Amino acid sequence: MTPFRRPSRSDDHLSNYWNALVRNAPPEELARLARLVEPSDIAAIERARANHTRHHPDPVFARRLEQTLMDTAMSPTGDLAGTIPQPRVSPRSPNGPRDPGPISHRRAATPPSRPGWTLRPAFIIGLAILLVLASAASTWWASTLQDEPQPMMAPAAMQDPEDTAGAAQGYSDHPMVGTWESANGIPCWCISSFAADGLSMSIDPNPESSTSGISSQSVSFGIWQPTGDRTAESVVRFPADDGGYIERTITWEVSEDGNSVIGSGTQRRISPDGKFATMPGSPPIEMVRMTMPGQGPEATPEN
Amino acid sequence: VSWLRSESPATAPPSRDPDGSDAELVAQARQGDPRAFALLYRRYLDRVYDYCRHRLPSREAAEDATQTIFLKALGAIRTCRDGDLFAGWLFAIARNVVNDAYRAGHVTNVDIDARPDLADPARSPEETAIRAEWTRQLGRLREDCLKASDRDLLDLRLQDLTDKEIAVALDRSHGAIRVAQHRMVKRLRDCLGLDREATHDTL
Repeated sequence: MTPFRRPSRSDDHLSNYWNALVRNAPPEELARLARLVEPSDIAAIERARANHTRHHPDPVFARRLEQTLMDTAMSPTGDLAGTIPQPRVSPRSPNGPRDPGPISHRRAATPPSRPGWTLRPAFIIGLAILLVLASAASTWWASTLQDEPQPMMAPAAMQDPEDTAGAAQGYSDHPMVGTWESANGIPCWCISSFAADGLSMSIDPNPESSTSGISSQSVSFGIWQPTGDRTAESVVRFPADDGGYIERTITWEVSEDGNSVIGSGTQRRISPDGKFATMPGSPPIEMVRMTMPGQGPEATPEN
Repeated sequence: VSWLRSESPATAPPSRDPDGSDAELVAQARQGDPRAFALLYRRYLDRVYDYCRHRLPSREAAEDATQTIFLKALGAIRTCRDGDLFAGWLFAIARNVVNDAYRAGHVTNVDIDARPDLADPARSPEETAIRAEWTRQLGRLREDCLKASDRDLLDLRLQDLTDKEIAVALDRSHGAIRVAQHRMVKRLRDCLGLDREATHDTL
C-alpha cells in the first residue's frame, strides 16, 4: 500500500492547472499556471484529454428520461428517499481514507412507516374484542343447540361414503324395504314406504285423531335405517298446520315371513320456533306388505 | 418544457450561468422544485452518460445506468448538503451504480476494441477512424498502465471534475486526491513515453 504523504507544491500546481483546464480558464491564466507544471505532465494530460472521445446520449432517451424524472418528482408519492441508498454518514476510518465501497453497502435512510402501521395497537385491540365476542357467541350457540331437536338420522346416502355403498346394498336386502299398509285400519288407514336408499314416506289419512288433536298434513317424509335383520327404525315428520312438525319415531319388526310388520314408537311436536314437546306415544300399528293386485290377499269388497 | 429555460428567481445572487449555479439549483431542488432538478439533469446528462459509456460495455447498459443514477439523485437530493460540490456527489452515485452493475453480473468487462457506437455523423470517416484509434489507445493505456484507483481518478478528471469534486466522489480527502493525481499523471506520462527532458527540449 502506498503511504500517504502531504501534497507537495508540484501536486498543487498540477491540480491547479487541471482545474483551470476543466473550468475553461482564460488562456493567460492557463499559461501562467502551466509554467509551474512539468511540461511532460501537461503533455500527458493533453494527450489523455485529446484521446477521450465523448459519447452523447440518444436524444430520444434523454427526453424520455427527463420526462420520467419530472413525472417522478411531481407525483404525490415521488419521494424516493426511503428507497435510495444514501451517502455514508459514518465518520471516516481512523486508519485513513479508504474506498467508500458500493453505495448499496452504505447506511440507508430509515424507510418511512407505512400509513397503517401507526394503527397497529387499535387493530390488535379490535382483534382481541372480536375473538372474545366470537368465543361468547360459540358458547351461547352450543347451549342453544342442546334445547333444539336433534337432527333426524342421516339417510344412507348421507353417511360415510365407504359405508353408503354397502348400506344401500344392505338396505335393498332388508325386509323392511317396500310399501306397507295398515292391516285393519287400527289405529289408522296408513301407508308407509321404505326405500332402499333410506327414504321413508308415510300417509296418515286422519292425522288429527292420532296426534292428540294437533292438526297436521296427511303426508310425511323421513328416513329409516335397519337396526337388525328384521328390525328397523324410522323417523318421519308430518307438517303441522301451525308451521311446525309432528315427528314420529317408530321401531319396526318385520315378521319372519316378511309380509307383515309391527311398529311402535313415540312422537313429539316441533314448534315453528324450533322447540319440541313430547306427545303421547303412537299406538302400535300393524301393517302388511302392499302387493300388486292378484299377487296378495284381496281387499274385502264394500258390497 | 419551455419553463426549463425560465430565469432564476430574482432573489438569487447573480451567477455566471443564466440558469443559476449548481449550489442555487441544488438549494431549490432540495425544497422540492422539480424545475431546478431538471436544469441540473440537463447540465450533467452528457457527462454522466459519457462516464457510464466509457465504463460499461454497451449503449443499453450505459442508458440503464444513467437512468438509475438520476433517479437515485432525485430521490436523495435532500441529502446533498454542499451544492457547490454537486458534481462530486452525483458522480459518487454514478461510480457506485456502475460498480453495482458489475457486481450484480449484469455486464461484463469493457472490450476496448469493440465499441460499436464511436461513429459520429458530424465527422468524416477518416476523422472517425482516427478518433476511434485514439480512443483505443487511451483505453489500452488506461487498462495497461493505471491501477484501479488511477482509472477512477482519470475517468472523473476526463468528465471535467475538479479535484475537490473528485474527493467527494471518491470519498477521500482533497490532499489525497492531489497526491494520487500527480502519481497517476506520472504513470500516464511514462506509459506514453513522454520523457521529461525530451519534453522540455521540445517545449
